[in-house]
Amino acid sequence: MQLHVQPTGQSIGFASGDNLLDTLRQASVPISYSCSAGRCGTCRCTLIDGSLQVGSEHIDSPSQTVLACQASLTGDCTIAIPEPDEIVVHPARILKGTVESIEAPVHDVRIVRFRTNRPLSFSPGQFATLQFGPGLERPYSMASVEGDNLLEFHIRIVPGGTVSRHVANVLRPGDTARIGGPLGTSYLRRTHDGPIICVGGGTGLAPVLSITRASLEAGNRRPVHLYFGVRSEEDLYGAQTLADLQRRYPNLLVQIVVASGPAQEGHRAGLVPDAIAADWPDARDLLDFRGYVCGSPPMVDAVTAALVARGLDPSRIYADAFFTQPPIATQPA
Amino acid sequence: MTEGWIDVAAQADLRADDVVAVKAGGREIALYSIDGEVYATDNICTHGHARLCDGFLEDGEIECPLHQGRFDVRTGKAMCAPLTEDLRAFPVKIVDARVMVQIE
Repeated sequence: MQLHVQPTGQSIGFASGDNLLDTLRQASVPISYSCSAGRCGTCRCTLIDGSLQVGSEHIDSPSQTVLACQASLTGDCTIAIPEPDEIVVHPARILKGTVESIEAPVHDVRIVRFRTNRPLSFSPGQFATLQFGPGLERPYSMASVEGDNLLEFHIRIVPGGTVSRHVANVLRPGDTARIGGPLGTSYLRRTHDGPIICVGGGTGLAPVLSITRASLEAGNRRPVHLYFGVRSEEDLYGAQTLADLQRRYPNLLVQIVVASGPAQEGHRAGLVPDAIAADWPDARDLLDFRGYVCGSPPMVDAVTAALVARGLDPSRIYADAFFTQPPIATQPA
Repeated sequence: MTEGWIDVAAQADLRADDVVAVKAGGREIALYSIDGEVYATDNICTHGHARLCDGFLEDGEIECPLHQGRFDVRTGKAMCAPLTEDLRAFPVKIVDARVMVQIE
């Protein structure tokens, strides 16, 4: 039986029941993967023709997306892999993190930095699960970049949230947590050299900082347009970090957008999608861009629509919406 | 070396309450340091093909980073689902501050 791979044109023989990701890796197909457990989404690919088995489910509708690590090959089929020139491979790890510092830049955000027993290999923009104890587990994006001494996370204190309450009231420097990851597909595409637009809402600043720093510190001269949306001036944090980066890197352009109440000088009043619409008036202005968006689901939807309206290809907008409840992890068989 | 004992590491290179991987006898071995004692098992999980040195060591058990199966590092015994097969554990002795593992 043969597996055909687009766009590389490879044909690979397999035995019925073989795992799709294993088969691709053994044939040196350029496929990204990380957790191998159906959670991170990195190894997604598209069924073009034929069928696949995922658990007890028979998948045979063309253009359906499947996670290669969860799919078994049962007969001849054709799949398409995304971005074969942009391969990201990080082994899944569980690290022991020791809290080095906890900062409260505004009343409902904690910046928590961890020292870890081993380094975490990840791409800028990815996230990890932090587990502070039984039942106290939530995903958070890394605000740091690989190679930093400490892993940094921005944690929003949500009223009634069990993890929030723990972080706000119980967590102290010296406490430990389990850090599992990396996860997520909204990472910096390094092979693209054109301008990028990074949008963070609230603690969505964390992955945006990671992506922005990684691009700038690698010496890349591509313009980075960073939009940081906050509810009000009282909710603004990280402004000094952004100002420092802007001073060092002239190709970084920061827009701080304040949704309600008066905006300080140098900040914009209103909503991020409106600021984007004002800055890029033409429907083709963002044609060559890549977009990275992180925030609440409605914010991600509104920003994505604004970017698409200015010519950004939806498949080049990388977004991880965060939820106040943890996403349901699919339990592998 | 007699009886298949292989020198795999200096004891000083093992961090307390942590796991590292070494290559010995053509395979990857995970070394665990727990309360001053050193234990050794295969480094590859019997279930999902993950490297246990990327896992989490706690209370004498190593948790696989892929599917959260746990093994007792002293015996290699599989402690919970989805594991169905025990891990191979190897005898360890410390000679002159070197970690010796009996592979055969």
